[in-house]
Amino acid sequence: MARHRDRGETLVEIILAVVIIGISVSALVSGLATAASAGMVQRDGAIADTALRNLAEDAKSEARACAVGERLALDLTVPDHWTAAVSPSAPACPAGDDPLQLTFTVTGPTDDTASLDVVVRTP
Amino acid sequence: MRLHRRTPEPHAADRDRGAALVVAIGFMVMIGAMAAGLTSMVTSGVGNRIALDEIRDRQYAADGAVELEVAAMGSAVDAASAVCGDVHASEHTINGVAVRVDATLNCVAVAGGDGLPVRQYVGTFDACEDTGRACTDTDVVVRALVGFETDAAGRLVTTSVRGWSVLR
Repeated sequence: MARHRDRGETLVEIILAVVIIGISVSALVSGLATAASAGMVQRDGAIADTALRNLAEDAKSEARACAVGERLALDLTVPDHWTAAVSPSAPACPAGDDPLQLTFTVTGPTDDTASLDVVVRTP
Repeated sequence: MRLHRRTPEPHAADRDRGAALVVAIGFMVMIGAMAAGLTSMVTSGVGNRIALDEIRDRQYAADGAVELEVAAMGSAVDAASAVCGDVHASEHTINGVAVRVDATLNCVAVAGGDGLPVRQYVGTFDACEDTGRACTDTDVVVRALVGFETDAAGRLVTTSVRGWSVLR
């Protein structure tokens, strides 16, 4: 009679343990998926940041070197699968007393965008 | 004569009872710790990214605000309306960041090529996040020192950046 009762309790324990382990593993897998997703978001954010800084510094450098009245030669090169745009498009070199505000926007492969306003001036 | 009842010794099977549940709870605790670590890592990473973006936006906002003020001061020098010793505060919003620029125009007289005294203009620009009060050394984001050179007629000839520091 005692042996029969022991076997029953062990079965309940095992079922409960399997349920607990299942819930725990599900939570862990979900957490790993979230971490992977967040990692991709951070990677895209870092790429966007680098691209925007490159575009901004290039624009400032070009503005220092160009002659007033000419087109500002902007290099909108960004990493593969990314696109870049500037507003206003095809701007002219700004005069020394009339700085130009440019807005750069980069778009990633997942259509996430980041933008940065930069003021450039020709000395 | 008193009789003592002895507690029976547990069987091996009795000692093992609950072992699976203990293991499962231990496993759950371990998984919970790992999940907490993952959450902390993700939160920290996202927070760092946001903080770095804010710093970038603030730096370029301060940089742009100083550029605007350099141009304004240059125009004032060119129009001979600049006042030596003038301290001027202005606000600009760039990248969604409100920036205050405290600009000071200093004038010095130096000997020109012909020996006659020539007025030389030097502007100092401190840009910080706008808090409604003057920028202090601890909150200046960009500090610039810019020279304005004029010709004999007092017209602005050259604007030269003598120092441009991004401090925060």
